[in-house]
Amino acid sequence: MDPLLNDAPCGFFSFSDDGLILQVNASLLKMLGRESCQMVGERLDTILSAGARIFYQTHLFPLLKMYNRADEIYFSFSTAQGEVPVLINALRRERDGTMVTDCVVVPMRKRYQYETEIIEARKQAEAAIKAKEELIAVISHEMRTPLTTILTWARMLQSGKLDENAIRRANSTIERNARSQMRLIEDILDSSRITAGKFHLHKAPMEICKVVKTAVDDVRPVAEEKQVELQLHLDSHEIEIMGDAQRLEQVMLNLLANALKFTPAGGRVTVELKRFDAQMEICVRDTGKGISSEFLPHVFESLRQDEEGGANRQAGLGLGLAITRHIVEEHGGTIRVESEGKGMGAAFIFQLPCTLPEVSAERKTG
Amino acid sequence: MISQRNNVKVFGAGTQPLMFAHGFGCDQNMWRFITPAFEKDYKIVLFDYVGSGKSDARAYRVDRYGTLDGYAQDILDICTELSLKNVILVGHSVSSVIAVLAANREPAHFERLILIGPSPRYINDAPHYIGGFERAELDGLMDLMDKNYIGWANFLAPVIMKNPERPELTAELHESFCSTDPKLARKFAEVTFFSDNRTDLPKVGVPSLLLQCSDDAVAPLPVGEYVHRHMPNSTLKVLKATGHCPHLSHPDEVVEVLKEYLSAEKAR
Repeated sequence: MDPLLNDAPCGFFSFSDDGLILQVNASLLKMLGRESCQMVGERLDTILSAGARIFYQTHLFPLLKMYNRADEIYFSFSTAQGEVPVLINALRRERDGTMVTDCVVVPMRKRYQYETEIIEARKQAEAAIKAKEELIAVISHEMRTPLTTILTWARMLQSGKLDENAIRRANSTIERNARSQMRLIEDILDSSRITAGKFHLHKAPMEICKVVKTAVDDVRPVAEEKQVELQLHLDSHEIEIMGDAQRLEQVMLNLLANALKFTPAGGRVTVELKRFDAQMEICVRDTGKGISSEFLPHVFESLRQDEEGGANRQAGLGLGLAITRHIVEEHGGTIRVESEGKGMGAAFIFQLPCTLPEVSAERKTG
Repeated sequence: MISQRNNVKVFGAGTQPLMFAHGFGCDQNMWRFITPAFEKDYKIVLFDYVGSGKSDARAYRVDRYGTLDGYAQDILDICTELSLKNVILVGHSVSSVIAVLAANREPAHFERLILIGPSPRYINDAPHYIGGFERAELDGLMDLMDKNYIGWANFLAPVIMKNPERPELTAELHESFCSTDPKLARKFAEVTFFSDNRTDLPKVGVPSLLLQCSDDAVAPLPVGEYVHRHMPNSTLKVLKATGHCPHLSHPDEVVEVLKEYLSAEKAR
């Protein structure tokens, strides 16, 4: 081989149509950590990774056979040190009466890694766009439902034919549905603030027990209406922590609303607050429909609901638990979910650090 | 129009349809060295699967082409639209399995199957089945597929270069390249290499010829023997040809074997 080609700063090899290696330059031997005698006369398959063997047979070989050349093909060689990603250009032509394919080989370790990252990023971006599109579809649906109710009652009010009772009912229905829309919009805004890294807490010394009690009182009418028993057990009555009271109330309301939504009449929702040394733990447990083991790991992901099919989809965007987790984690806490499976109820348990000393160690029960 | 969707080409002086189904990574062009030998006696039918070659990529549906059955339906759609009967269906590589699926679903269309390099499952299922590959090795192929997306246009660049005197063809090829989403090829790879169609083999009622290359890295000899054992009415022929594309690498031998088989069957 011409000495210039032999140690050129790229690999070079030739092979026959039968896939036998005819010549190899020193640069390629070095790249692959092989001796010339280990390559010349061997089949091309022996130096290719398994994936590249198929790629050669299904893509590169047909290309060469039909068009006599292939450019910028990613390929992968097999070496004792593992796979070497390379880029090859190949030209098939007649030499000494037979058809020979000449290939130049450039190793691509760094660029390979770089392009892997680009491809990964692209896949993620495509998935994100898809998720956004789905979000828009779900949002539109979720916003339309309360809006339809509001419009219907507003039209009836305008007709002037409603008696006093009906007017009261119209007003409260309109207000309830407007609130529900407001909550949806707040969740969407929170979710986009979290994505943009603009979700900020306003922490101050606060009473966590008070927040828990307020939240439980807030949802009590819903529980009564659904005929679900609502219990509260406080291990300690005064625990002061550094936190954002409004956001922690949102956490409690999200967990309670969730528990009530999935618990049928006759069921029970229990809230337990326990104090450990530097930690406090709140558990919201229900006897509702439970969570399948497949869905359990995805409970806190945005826009995810445990669906058994479109018709069974529960109202809501599936943003609440993602926001809940974010708030807990921003407080330096952790949240987890436990469920024995479908129909077995579920428990959401979160822990927060107690950074302030307990004001009163007096033990009471709630 | 199915003919446009699948870029169907029909030619030849005969009446009996000889239909060629391309494998993964290629299109109908790969039969170019074989078809001339049969033009005189048969009605040659060539096509590209949706997502390959110059098919209409807009017809691609994830639910349909998420399994090989969707590709088998392409073959059946063409048979129906062209009212093809007594079809001799030649399938290469993954098209062997697709041909089996099509023949099992609507056997009435087919007189016989010729399967080149068939494999019902590429992943080993130890200890009873050796497909030739471990899952991790096939993941390596998927990675190469991903990487070559970036340089995908290069797969067609040589075609364009062959016709520098026809710039309109260059433009057309660019266009057809753009409409054939490389992602569909990636999906086709997944469906091809991660499917398991072993249970479809015993259901085949149409007689068949299996062509096995003597040294095929993609579908090794034991796989060909497995197919032969499990497919009723099959004849196994091991070619001298090596590699996975004998119709490209050793077209003369393939033509000879096909002619021999078809004339012997006709004489019966």
